[in-house]
Amino acid sequence: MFRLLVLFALALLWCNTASAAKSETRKLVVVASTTQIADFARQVAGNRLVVRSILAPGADPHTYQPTPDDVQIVLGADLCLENGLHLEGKNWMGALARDAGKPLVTVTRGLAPLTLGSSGRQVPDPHAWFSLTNAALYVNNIIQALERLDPPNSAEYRSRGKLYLQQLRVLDSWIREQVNRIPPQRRILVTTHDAFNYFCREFRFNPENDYLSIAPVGWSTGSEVGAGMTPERHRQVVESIRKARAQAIFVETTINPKQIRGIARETGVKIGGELYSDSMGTAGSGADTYIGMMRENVLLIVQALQPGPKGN
Amino acid sequence: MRFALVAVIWLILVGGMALYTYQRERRQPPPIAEPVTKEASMEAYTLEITPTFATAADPFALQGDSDAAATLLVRVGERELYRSDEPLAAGETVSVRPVPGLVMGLNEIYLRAVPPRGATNDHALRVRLLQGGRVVLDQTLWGEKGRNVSGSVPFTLTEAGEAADGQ
Repeated sequence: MFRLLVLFALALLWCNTASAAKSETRKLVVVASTTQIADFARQVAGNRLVVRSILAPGADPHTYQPTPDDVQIVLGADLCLENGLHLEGKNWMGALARDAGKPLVTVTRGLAPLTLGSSGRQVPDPHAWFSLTNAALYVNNIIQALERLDPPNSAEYRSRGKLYLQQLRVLDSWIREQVNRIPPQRRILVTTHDAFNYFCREFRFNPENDYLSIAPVGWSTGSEVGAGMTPERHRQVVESIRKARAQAIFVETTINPKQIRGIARETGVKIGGELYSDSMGTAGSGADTYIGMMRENVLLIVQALQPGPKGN
Repeated sequence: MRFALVAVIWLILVGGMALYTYQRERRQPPPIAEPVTKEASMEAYTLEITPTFATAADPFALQGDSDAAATLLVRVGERELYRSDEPLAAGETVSVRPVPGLVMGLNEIYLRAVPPRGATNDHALRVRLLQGGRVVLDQTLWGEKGRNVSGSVPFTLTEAGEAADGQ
């Protein structure tokens, strides 16, 4: 009888600890297509949710091919987040979520994208996070998605989101202050691909090009309409660099720098450094968050384009 | 016999635990009473707020948050004293009278104003609290260019001050 009681007590104890452990470890999982969206989600979710990114730092969303590991990650998700506007080439995030039967939220919902004319067709520019007010829209959409996913912690997501939005406002004003160090006539930003249109429009770069980016490769590195590099684009970029007297041109972390290095040789313009465009940096790079990525980009651009001590 | 022994051991364990928790709860101090405050006469005061900048809607506001939608917000504790969802002109003084929610002793007014995005100058918000013709508080909150101006302004009201003004 005594043994029976002891066994009963032990069983009760085990059930209690097992259920407690289960409730502590099981967190809802959010899977984002890109590193930027994953960072926004982490800023809002804190430690309440597990946030994972399909793309690794340095990966190119336009040409990315999902792997069997990605399928497993999405199968374990409770919510998927994508950029949309064809950033994820051939809609790979949509396909992953659909095949796994998981809810998918497009975080650019409600955004008025810049449109790029190409071969008689208008293509929306997907690199909307380079405008800070667009980034605020991404964050607001993510807050709403997390509130729907996990209503009991809704107030916490809103509080974190509100603080983060103000950090974006501070970043916006800091970028303006930094960019102001570059005289307007030197504000020529030449990059590898057309990722910086929103940035140029927002911070007044490339006035001769209607405040849009100058790049030899189109809005995508893939094979979509208006994507890739053509001899015509190459010629236009070389002309623009010479006409605008660009002080430096920039390579991007996600794209092979061969083309831009060739243009640098052809025009005699120096390489200003490596910008983070379609994905953030690795841990420890200083660019492993959205705010860090924008900060590092701006510091690099300002350093390369502002006049030297002798006004060079 | 064994059963009785087990039952006694269980009784001792459970009883001991119940006794311990009972004693622990008894030892807890009584709840702390709310501090007693005397409300100030709300009619006696006028609050004046003057921004040096034109206020604007905040493109970085949290959607669905009514506080964040205001271009100028003034609160005493949880009580909203004034809000404007419309832009205000630079230098335009907003007067709030009466001023409810003030107490004798320590008070704090929270203010938040949104400057236009991309503003190139630092900006300020002047706050004055008048009691009759007497200035009780005159303080300026500063904000760096483009950033929201927000902060709490602490001040103390005394009964002697109110009496001196015949309130």
